[in-house]
Amino acid sequence: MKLHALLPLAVAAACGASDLEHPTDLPHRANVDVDWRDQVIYQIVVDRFANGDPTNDYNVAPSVPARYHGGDWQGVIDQLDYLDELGVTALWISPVVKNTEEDAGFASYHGYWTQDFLRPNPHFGDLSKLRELVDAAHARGMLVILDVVTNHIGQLFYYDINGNGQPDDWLSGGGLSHTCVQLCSQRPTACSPDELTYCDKGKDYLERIIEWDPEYDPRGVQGWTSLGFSGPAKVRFTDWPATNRVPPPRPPSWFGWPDDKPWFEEPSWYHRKGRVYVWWHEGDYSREFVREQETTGDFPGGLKDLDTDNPDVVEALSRVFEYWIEAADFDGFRIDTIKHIDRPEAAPNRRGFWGVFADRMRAKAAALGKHNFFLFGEAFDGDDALIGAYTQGGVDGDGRFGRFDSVFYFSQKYRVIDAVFKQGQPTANIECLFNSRTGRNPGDAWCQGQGYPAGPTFGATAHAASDAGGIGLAPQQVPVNFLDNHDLPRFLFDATADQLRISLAYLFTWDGIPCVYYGTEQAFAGGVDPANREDLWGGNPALGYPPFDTGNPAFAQVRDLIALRKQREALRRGDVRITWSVRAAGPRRDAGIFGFERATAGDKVLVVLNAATQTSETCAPVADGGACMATSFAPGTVLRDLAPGTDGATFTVGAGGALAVTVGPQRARILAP
Amino acid sequence: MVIARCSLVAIGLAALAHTAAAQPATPPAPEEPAPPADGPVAAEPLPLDPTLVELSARVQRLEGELAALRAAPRVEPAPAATPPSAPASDWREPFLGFRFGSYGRVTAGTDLAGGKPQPIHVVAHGPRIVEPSYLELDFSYGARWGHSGLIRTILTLAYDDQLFHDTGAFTAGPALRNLYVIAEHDDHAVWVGSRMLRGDDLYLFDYWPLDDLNTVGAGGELRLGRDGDDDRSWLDVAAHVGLNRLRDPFQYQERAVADPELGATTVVQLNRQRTIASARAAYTRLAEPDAGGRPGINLRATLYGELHGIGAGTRRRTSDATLEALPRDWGTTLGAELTAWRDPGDADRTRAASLFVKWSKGLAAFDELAAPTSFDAELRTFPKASELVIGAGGSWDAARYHLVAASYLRRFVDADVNTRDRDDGWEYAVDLRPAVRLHHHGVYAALDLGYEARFPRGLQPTTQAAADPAIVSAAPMLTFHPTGASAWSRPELRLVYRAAHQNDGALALYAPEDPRARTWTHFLGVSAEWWFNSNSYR
Repeated sequence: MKLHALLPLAVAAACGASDLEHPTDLPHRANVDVDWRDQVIYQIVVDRFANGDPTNDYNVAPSVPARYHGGDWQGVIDQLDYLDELGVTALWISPVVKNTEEDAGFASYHGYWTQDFLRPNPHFGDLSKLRELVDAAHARGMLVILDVVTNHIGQLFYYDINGNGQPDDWLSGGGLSHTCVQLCSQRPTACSPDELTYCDKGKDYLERIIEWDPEYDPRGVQGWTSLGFSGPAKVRFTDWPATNRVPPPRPPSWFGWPDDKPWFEEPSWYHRKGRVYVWWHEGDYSREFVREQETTGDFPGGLKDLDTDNPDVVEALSRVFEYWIEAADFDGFRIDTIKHIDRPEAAPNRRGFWGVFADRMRAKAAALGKHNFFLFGEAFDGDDALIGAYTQGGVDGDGRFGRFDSVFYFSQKYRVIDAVFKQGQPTANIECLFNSRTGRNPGDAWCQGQGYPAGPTFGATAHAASDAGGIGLAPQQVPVNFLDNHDLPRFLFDATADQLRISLAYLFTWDGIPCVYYGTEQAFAGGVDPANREDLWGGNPALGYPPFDTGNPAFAQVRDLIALRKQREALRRGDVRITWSVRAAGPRRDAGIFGFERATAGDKVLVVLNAATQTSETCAPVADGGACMATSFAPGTVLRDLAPGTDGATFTVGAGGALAVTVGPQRARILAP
Repeated sequence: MVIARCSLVAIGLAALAHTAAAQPATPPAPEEPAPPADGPVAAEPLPLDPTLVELSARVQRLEGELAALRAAPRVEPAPAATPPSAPASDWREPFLGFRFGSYGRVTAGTDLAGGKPQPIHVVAHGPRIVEPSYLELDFSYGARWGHSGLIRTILTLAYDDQLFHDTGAFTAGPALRNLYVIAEHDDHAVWVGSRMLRGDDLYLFDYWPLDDLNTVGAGGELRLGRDGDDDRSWLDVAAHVGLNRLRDPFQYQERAVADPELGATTVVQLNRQRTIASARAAYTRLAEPDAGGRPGINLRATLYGELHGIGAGTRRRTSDATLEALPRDWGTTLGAELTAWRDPGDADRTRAASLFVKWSKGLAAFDELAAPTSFDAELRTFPKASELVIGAGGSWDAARYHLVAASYLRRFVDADVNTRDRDDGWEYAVDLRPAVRLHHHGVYAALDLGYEARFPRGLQPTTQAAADPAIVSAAPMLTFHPTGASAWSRPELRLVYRAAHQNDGALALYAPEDPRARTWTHFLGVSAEWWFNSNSYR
């Protein structure tokens, strides 16, 4: 017998093989020197960015836009050189948690259909791989932002409206109109005017309902049979393991969640009112009614709305995402669907969910030694006052509380990127929006006439110092600017290359944090979701670009603008002084011109954009007096055009700082001494 | 989170194993007890004159040869248990005509919770106390070929845990395992067909660490350097080339296409064969009997290698009907084995030990009957996949007790790019089964002590924590060997109770709703195992 010869090996295996460090035990990046104004965010849909580990390609269908394609965290690691060359400094990665696999043929490749808040999505890798990605990015000086969803979960249960114990796709005659007839038409006083309108408008389309995703019912989704109503419809979780449509599993024991407390499998943790139907005011509903729907209704697609006023839900979600900061060392969160939780525009001093959650995340980051933890939210809405409300702090009986450091700047997307740079509306819209955000020039009648609030719509003070987990910057300073994203058609879908050029120039020189949707640098031009989620590793066949091409014009534009932004402090952190905008539409000498200076103590840059399709000049028409743009540069200063791809022309500042700059159609000049 | 870096239990058991394993090293003479008056144990040799000693040795050798012929070329611990048989005057005789053999085992019992027991393991090959019933039916027909040759056609049907009296399902689907023709001569043989090729095993794990191939192909064997029956050393050289095309999405895919005339027809979209070539060279050296006529320690050293290759192919994804290229790939295995044994003698006492080392790389790191679990279609090779196995096992028969032991240490790294991966890691298992004779009619009391542990290089998906799963088990049993006193005498009938403890790491391997996730599991049952005339196990 030679068994004893093996024992040293066995003991070595016992002692040495499991030297695996858990990600939570690894050090966290302190980010002491981070200023979020310096960052350029790059939004990555992980499934579509790069496929670095084909062994996790479970159930992929690369040719079907709405299915998994195979991208993963290893792919992002593999392409960090590409991202480095582009120059981006912060990666926003799509949600990482385990999802329901699919619903009605659509897969959860995007990551927004949470099934388990604590386990990573195995399509992308495991927790170690995720941490490896974050560490690899950190090693290159890149920050990593996680996309998180707290408003809802995936389609994990249905409303058993007819009580037959099975999910019925269509129930004829059981729709809300029936509810309305019963509760409103026959008893009008039981319903509010909004509800009467809702029932009246909905009677044509609400005759049939889907038990997965019934339309919003103010009283909660009601059970119904041909004999009448049976009270609130019972919630039934599905038990379909093959598509991971099973109740959220209890957390692991180390998570410390009390055994006697429910978890996300508890029906009372959800509002159970059915799907948001009325998205816009439409002139018929009160704002209150719309916001009630938005904040308590399910997100379309059967994504069940969590009751974020339930203290247990608040605690669970807070602990879940504290865990993700600790486990993966993220540097910030982009938070999904924030306008579907709380109504800070109506009750700014009600702490609500965000007032707790945001401060908990900051405190957790600080406890881990992380400074400058960035929280920005997605409020998919053009209402600047509404989205800005989520950046305002508040005070209640327990003291001050914060909300978001920033939001994804949808109001700018609609009112500037689309309206000005695509549709040719006056450039004064940029000024108006800026003034709304910052509260400057609140009495501007022209802006008010265009529907801009007086402001300031965005918070004027930092929620927390950088060493307390905040970013030490006021929300007004750090809007997250973007041209497009995964929920919108790509910019080029309905725009020209020239429009992209001028918009990119705006994105990288204007006040705020630029955010580039992956593939912009490859001139992708897909339409609405899912066509706007192309495989980056597939190149751009329409234009003949190979995968991860770094030689095409779009890549060069983005790369060079980022490089210029890095060179010029003023483009990152400078205060804004608008030097020219146009309030009139149509051709004229200064059509499409928008000029602004950005200045810090040591740097100053003048940017002149021309959104028009004509060559324009920074001077008023002669009929209007012909005065030219007044800058703060000293007379005689020679300014050179630094904009990538331009002619390097020089311009000399005239008397009183006046400057006449000619800019080609849909071009930009970035001028500095 | 705290990670258990060192399993004290493992060390403790390993130390226990050390102690137990050391027992057979005791010099033979003192451990041979005086034969009981009513026992079949052979008497100790007496101081006779040289002629008688020589005669006794010769008789003993001839009896050994006859026993080998009677027992056929079975069996599980074969090289350890059964010495290579010396040629007899007409070695073909037992194989002529129709011949039937079998290997089988049947288990019945309870988990003491009202259910049927299920095997639980955290390693690839753990202690086999609880295992499904299994049956092989071995048929052959042998005919003389020339002056000293033999041609046999061999067929083996195998059934896996499909007992009508257990399931109530009046059906059983056999697997056709062996189906080949072998032509043998004194010192060479060739074969063609579907064949299970087996070397030496670690019986307590039901595991063949080195050569364990199941393919359809051809091979040959040559014995070199043995000029006569009295030669005590020789070299056996064997080679085999086999193929398979598993009904697995990585090797085979059918799909319907439009028929050129009407309707649909089926085509084979993916048709990738895996080729496995193996070769073995074994040098055997038989020891001379000592002055007392007692057999010495025989040795055999084996070198072994495999070469695996798989062709390229194109698979059609069922999810979206796109085509996926699967590239060609290859891999290799190298291994060695050292076996020492003493002839059973007329008392049928096997004393043997084997030490195995195997290292596989690339495709060869994956079993030939399983597609790679981490198959990477975009890689041209498997540069990362590897398997290292070090195994040891043996047995020691004595008059009043016997001991069987097995252990192995294995490191596996899969083919993906991940360096922190729960598929990668070390594992080991140790199993000891000492038995003490209670009655001279072959009744023994035995105790099987098993420990298995795994050290994955990745986090558990359920707990998101690192964990080292381990199972410790103890199984007292009563065994009955009606045909002999050796640990390898079969049939063997057992009455067994087994308790197994799974640590938290082991429990974390289960899916959250798996009812098997119990800290303690039990088994109380009976089992029977037999083998005779098998053509698969040599």
